[in-house]
Amino acid sequence: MPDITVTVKCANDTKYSVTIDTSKTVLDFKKAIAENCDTPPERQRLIYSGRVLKDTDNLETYKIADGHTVHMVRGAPPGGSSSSQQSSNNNSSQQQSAPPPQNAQPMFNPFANLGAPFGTPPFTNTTAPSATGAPLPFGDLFNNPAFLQQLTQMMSDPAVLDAVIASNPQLADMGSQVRAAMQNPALQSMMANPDFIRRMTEMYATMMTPPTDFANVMGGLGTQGAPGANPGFNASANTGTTNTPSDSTNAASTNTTNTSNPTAAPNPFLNLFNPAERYQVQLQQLNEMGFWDAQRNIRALLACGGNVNAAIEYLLSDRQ
Amino acid sequence: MTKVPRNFRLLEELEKGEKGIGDGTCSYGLSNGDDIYMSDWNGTIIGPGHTVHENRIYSLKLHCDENYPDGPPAVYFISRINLPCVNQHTGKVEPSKLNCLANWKRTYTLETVLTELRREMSTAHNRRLPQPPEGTTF
Repeated sequence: MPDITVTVKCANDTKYSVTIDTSKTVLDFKKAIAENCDTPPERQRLIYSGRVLKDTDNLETYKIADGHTVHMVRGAPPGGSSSSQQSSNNNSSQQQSAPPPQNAQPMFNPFANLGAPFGTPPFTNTTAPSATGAPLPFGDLFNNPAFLQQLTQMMSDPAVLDAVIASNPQLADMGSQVRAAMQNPALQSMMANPDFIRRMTEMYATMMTPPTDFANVMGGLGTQGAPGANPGFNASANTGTTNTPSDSTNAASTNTTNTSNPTAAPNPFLNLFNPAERYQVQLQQLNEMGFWDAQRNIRALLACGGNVNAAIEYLLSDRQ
Repeated sequence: MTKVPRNFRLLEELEKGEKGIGDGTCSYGLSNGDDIYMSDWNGTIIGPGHTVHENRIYSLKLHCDENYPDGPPAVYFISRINLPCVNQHTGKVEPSKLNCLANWKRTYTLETVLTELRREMSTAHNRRLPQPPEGTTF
């Protein structure tokens, strides 16, 4: 049977050319595709001419010809999900179900972890991260979109903030400032950014300063940063130490920072540079408000540095 | 403007479907490649993200009668789906309930129908509708 060259198009617009014999099965074809991309055969779902290709069929059954295009969609993993493939899949299941009893437990677990950065001496118990490793104390927690969503929800819930503040004398002293700072969307998106958390951790490890410093940074944010958000934060972080952990908050400053971390390990959060994943929480909010065009939402969020309110205005003004 | 005859028009659409022009969220092709009248088509819609349909692939059947493209195609869901415009017994998309079928224009294509159905899935009301388990069919 003749070999044909088929274009495989993924949802994220990447394309691969795969050459294969038409007498091969769809499963063989998927294996050939897997050599080009990081989606294992069992997670690939292929669509051609309005049909989903079955693993056991031969390619000739579907009359795929040279130069034609097959679409690939990532399916849910057969078993549990690996953390790196987090993104949309487990997210959707969370979204679909999300009945109160399921939510109740994770609501409080992350809460317990959350206490740490604001309260008790935060990282003195964790051994100082090695120059290269710098593991994230919360592990994969911040990789989990469901957690990020809850975090944002919690941070915008005044009752939760009150509880956090009341639980900690240091914070109680400056209650109103903290509250203002925490409700600042810029800070919220920072807190929802694992890369930011990791850098903060690294910063602590190198400084080993008393925990009150974090409160100072927070205080600085509250006073300087609350209305205009980022400049205040960047300033206070700079006085603190090394490099500014700015990322998702300020599109303008993204290019200028990030560069100078000699100790940075191969970044495990590379996928954060994909705006769709970095702004996942915000995208979801926009979607819930009825802005369903993901491409435009991403563009708007990028233009507004992740600020949902600004993005809405952008979207509305963009609409003819 | 000259009127493109039915078969030329469908051939155009067939080629577009096979070459995968378009954004890839909807796909379509002839169910039977030997059908010289090009009446029966398969379609798939990839469920839009951030909705209950995310990561689902919906299969459809489209039938273009001799009036196409002056008249709309008949559209059926093969995969079970809960949408107001879909008859829950037969899977037929009720023409009166889908704008592009109700107000059909000659310039509309099978892709128009599939994209509009996909958009239907992501409207504020429909995106959260409880859905039957994936893989069930009408």
